[in-house]
Amino acid sequence: MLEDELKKTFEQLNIEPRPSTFNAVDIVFRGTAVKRRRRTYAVAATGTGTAVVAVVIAFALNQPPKQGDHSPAGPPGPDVSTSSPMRPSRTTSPEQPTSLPVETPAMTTTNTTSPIPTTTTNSVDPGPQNSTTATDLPRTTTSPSR
Amino acid sequence: MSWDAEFSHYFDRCADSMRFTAFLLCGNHHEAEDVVQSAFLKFYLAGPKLAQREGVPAYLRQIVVRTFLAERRRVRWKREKLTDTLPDLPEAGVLSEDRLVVWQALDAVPAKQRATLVLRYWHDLGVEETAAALGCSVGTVKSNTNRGLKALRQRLGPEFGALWQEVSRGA
Repeated sequence: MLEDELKKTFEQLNIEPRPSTFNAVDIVFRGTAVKRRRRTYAVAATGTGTAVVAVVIAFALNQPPKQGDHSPAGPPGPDVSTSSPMRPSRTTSPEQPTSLPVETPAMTTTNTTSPIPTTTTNSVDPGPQNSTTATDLPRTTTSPSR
Repeated sequence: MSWDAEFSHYFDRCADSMRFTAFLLCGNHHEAEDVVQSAFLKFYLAGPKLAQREGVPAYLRQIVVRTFLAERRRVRWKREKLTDTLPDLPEAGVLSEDRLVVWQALDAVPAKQRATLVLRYWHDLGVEETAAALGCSVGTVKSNTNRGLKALRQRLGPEFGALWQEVSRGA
């Protein structure tokens, strides 16, 4: 049988074993070096991974808000004020007591209306045809001349 | 006992057997030395927890066989070019002429089938043990054994069978 021939061939080959080219000390030396290299790679990979995660999180947090965000606005805070049209005010605000010029008491002319023309619409019941529009022009009241 | 000392103990006990197994698998001493060295390095790195279990020689043999198969799978990616001429043959007188023919014919057998033949006919392992060592099913071991022997017969040719029958009849 071929199987028996194979066994005998293997047995004959085993008669003269060759001397080994390495011993246990060589394996231990190589194993120690491999362990040290693996530890170095593990430390380097962990540090690199941590840095990458930190950079990704920093980028994610610094993203500007999206333009298409249609979520309802919240109530304004106490510091937020709505803007009004440019309207010169003669009254002095308590925050800026020194910024506006102080009017002299000798002046007799006072403006009681704002310089911007105001429009008032008086609508009468029967229909829109009879509606009249009156425009109040700025009037200046002066003291009677002498 | 430290792991290094324990490893040296196992090495002294099993190195010769593993080296010869690797020689039967690889067909030449140089590759066998590389395979055994890699196998013992894997065993050393596996640590003492694996060495405490039963059957360290069987475990080492399994590492050797699987390292050999992994090397053969990796051979196409290696820069080294293998030729079909054997770099070294058994010394004259070690093998008779007919067994030298059998030994050379083993090169025609694929790696996994060769490993199966070595485990079954050199280590006298059963089908289940061979399957456990190779990490395959029992049916695969049986088919690999059958195909390996068939490849060996094809390589030896019909004349070798007739010659072998004559020799066995004369003996």
